[in-house]
Amino acid sequence: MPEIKDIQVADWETEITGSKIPVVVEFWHQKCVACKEMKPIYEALPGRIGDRVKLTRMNILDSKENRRHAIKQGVRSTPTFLVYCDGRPIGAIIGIRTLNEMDAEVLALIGMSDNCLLATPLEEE
Amino acid sequence: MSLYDVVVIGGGPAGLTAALYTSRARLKTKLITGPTPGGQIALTYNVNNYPGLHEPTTGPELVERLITHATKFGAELDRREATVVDFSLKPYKVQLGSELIAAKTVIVATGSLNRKLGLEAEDQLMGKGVFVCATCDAALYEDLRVVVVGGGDSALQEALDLSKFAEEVVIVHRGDDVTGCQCLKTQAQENPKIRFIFNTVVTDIIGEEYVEAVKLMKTPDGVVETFQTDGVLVAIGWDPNTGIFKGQLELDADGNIVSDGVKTGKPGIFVAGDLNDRVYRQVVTACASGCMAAIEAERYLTQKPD
Ligand SMILES: Cc1cc2nc3c(=O)[nH]c(=O)nc-3n(C[C@H](O)[C@H](O)[C@H](O)COP(=O)(O)OP(=O)(O)OC[C@H]3O[C@@H](n4cnc5c(N)ncnc54)[C@H](O)[C@@H]3O)c2cc1C
Repeated sequence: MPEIKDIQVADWETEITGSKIPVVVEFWHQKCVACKEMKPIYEALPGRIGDRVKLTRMNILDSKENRRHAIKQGVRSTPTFLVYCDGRPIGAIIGIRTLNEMDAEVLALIGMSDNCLLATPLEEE
Repeated sequence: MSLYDVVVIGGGPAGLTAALYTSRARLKTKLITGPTPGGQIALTYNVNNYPGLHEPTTGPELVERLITHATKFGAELDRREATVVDFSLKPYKVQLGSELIAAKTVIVATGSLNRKLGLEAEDQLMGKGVFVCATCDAALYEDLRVVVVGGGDSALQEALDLSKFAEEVVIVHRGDDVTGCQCLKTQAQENPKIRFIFNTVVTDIIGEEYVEAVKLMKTPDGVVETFQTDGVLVAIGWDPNTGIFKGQLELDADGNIVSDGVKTGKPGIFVAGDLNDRVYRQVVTACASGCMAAIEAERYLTQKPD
């Protein structure tokens, strides 16, 4: 059963840049109410689209390095969900969504990106 | 259509307290909170002045406790928004998405909305450098500069919260001194990361993808300068959140619901919290008026059960 992987900056190379499939990174922290709202929704995503996308999250209060990295990625508000393909950011979802909106938006971002079409595993016949 | 003894609109401290009291009095209670229950206090780091909570307690922690307490006695918490109300006939009606519910009594506790500067760029750059909640986003301004617009309690509090991360916090205020309480004012003045620019208004926010600068205009001479900044937090006051009650309840020129204490002009409809409080605006006062509105609703139902 796929699940959400908690990552730190040190994991970026392996988990995001080196990923064979698209990756979502949620930038969040424990004092953010909207992040709390989104927790059960995001945690339901692996069961729905976890075969096509890797789902990860980074707590920006865990370390200064995490915060620096989030700022460098252009994150200015939490929660921000950045979608990466081949290590490149292809889109952002900022703030609260319903479960249906969330997986539709992630799949739409992946579907629209040429990088991602290559990165998404082909469906088996 | 479901009929409730009490429908509470608003899930901040006032609404949560009202629902706690009415459900504990065994009144069938619907608590309509919108998507993020907790109201404004959910947006603050530490609440240091709620009686009994003397250990460090964050806003979100207090909200969690209030929600647990409010639902413990059976109030139905509903995260949809009330979009339309009809208070012309009893039972009163409240629209929730595609569902219409009926209420013998209504407690209105919708709080207030942050006032905006009214600049086009403010909406365009929201979440991209323009923000309203230091608790939520301060960490993303670590070692950066942030302009806080305003000079009241909330501007000072937000500036203090931001200073934990930001390299510099610049409070820009149109008056010649801040109007916030002395304790916050002293803390801000003594904080080496905070500085003040008085007699100045923000006339524009500049940035393509992210906020890069603001235009500052000195008053009264009108001299304009471009001031580099990575973030803009707007804390210039609030307006009562009474849009959906226009035409249903009597409102004054500022949009406040005309009331006598917690009673409105309509029988069985009560108000609570910051919505109708321009003076105190604290969690404890919001909770207190939520309690008063609930007790009045209970009395009303005992005297006029239909
Ligand atoms: C940054 C900050 C720091 C603060 N710090 C403190 C402090 O340390 N101590 C203190 O005592 N006070 C503090 N306050 C003030 C305190 O938060 C408020 O006084 C209190 O939250 C008011 O409660 P309320 O329930 O009246 O309204 P609100 O908290 O504004 O809640 C109203 C709720 O109703 C919801 N709502 C509105 N319309 C609808 C609708 N149509 N349908 C459904 N829901 C709706 C809103 O979304 C909101 O959640 C602070 C405020 C801020 C902004």
